[in-house]
This record gives sequence, C-alpha cells and structure tokens, in this order.
Amino acid sequence: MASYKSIMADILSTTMHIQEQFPELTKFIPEMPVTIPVNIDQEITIKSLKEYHDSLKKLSEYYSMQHKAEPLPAKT
Amino acid sequence: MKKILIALDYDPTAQKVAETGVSLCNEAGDMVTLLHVIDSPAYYVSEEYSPIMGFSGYMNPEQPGVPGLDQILGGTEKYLQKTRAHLGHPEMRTLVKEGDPGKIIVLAAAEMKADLIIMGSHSRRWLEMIPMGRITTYVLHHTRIPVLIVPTGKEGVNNDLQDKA
Repeated sequence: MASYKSIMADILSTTMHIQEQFPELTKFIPEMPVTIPVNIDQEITIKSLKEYHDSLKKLSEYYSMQHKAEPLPAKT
Repeated sequence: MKKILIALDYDPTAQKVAETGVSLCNEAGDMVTLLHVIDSPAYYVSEEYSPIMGFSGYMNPEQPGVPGLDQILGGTEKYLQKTRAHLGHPEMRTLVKEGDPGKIIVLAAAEMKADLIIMGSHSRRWLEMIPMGRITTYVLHHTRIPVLIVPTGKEGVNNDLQDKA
C-alpha cells in the first residue's frame, strides 16, 4: 500500500508533467471530478488521493496518446 | 531545506490545504510560508458562519457592509496566525499581500525562491466570485516552480457520494 507521502509525490510529479508537457491541459486540473473530502470532520484518505492521482494520470495519458507526446516518466 | 509557499483563501477548504501542505514539509529546517492574498474587499462580505481552523471569522456583525482594507488586513493577519497555531508549526511565516491572487502567488513564490507552491483547486465560499480554479490555472501557467494542487471539491459533494457508495 502506497503511503500518503508517496501518493502526494506522485500527484506532484504528474501535475508537473502536465504543467511542462501539456500546459494547455492545466485548465482542466481544477475541474477534475475526483476530489478529497473537504469537510473539516472528514479525513483525507489514501484512497481519495489515489483516485485523484489516477484521474490525473488518465487525463495526461489519454491526451498524450491523442497527441503522440512524451508519456509519463517511468516511476523509479 | 525546502522553501514551501502555501496559498490559502478564506474558505473552510483552506484547512485541508494547509494541513496537507504541512504534512509534506515536516522535515526539520523546512521553511513554510502561509500566504493570503486580498483581492477585493467585497469578497469578504458574507453572512455565513463558517469556522476555519476553529476560527469563526473576523467580520464585525455590528458593522455591516463592505469592510475597509485595514479591517481586512487585521483580520487576515489574525486568521493566518490562528492557522499557524492550529498547524503547530511555530517557525512558519505568514504573509498578507494585496492584488490579483494569481499574479501575487507567482510573484511571492519567486521572491522567496520557493521550491514548492501548495494551493487548493477550489474555494466553496468564493466559487461564484473568485473561482479558485482560475487562480490555480494562472499559477500553473505562469511559474516553473512545482505546484501541488490539493483537490478540494467544489461542494464536497463528490466525496460525500463516494463515501456513501
């Protein structure tokens, strides 16, 4: 199971990839339908962060397939 | 040592953004700065009671109408100090600036040579007036500093539904 910090690092990495490779996609990042719980009494879960990261990755991968751009860097 | 800028608006989701940011920068020596940008005083008018970090707000109910800049500045300083106390990070700096939020966040991050900017994707309180998504998009477009977006929902509805599923 990935840790909280490792998922946040993945989210940052994917966001940076979009920021650098597909700046035209950045306008969709704030519109991602998957979000974390925002109510004060709700915990941010690994599950919700992972779902958000998966949706970011899908956005990037689908777009790169359509535009034959560089894929996401392999995870080290 | 990392320099981290956490941009906060005046919305209950700011607590999640701040907590997320601090959880990522708890290494000794990390320099954390909390930034709030004052845009228009009109945005600070609200009849809602919406506690953030256990702090219920700074508007004086006996003085209705649009608050003055001094009142907002004082309230915002207090808000950031309360936030810092809530986060339990005594070394954290607080910064209040005035102007276009997107531009100011980019500028402040460059001035402090930030290694990372952390901000939320949405603001529920100001959704109709200042779409935080617009500010987030601006920052992503105008800086080469890594930006970590904390995906705060528009209404929190998505997650409420997910949790019930």
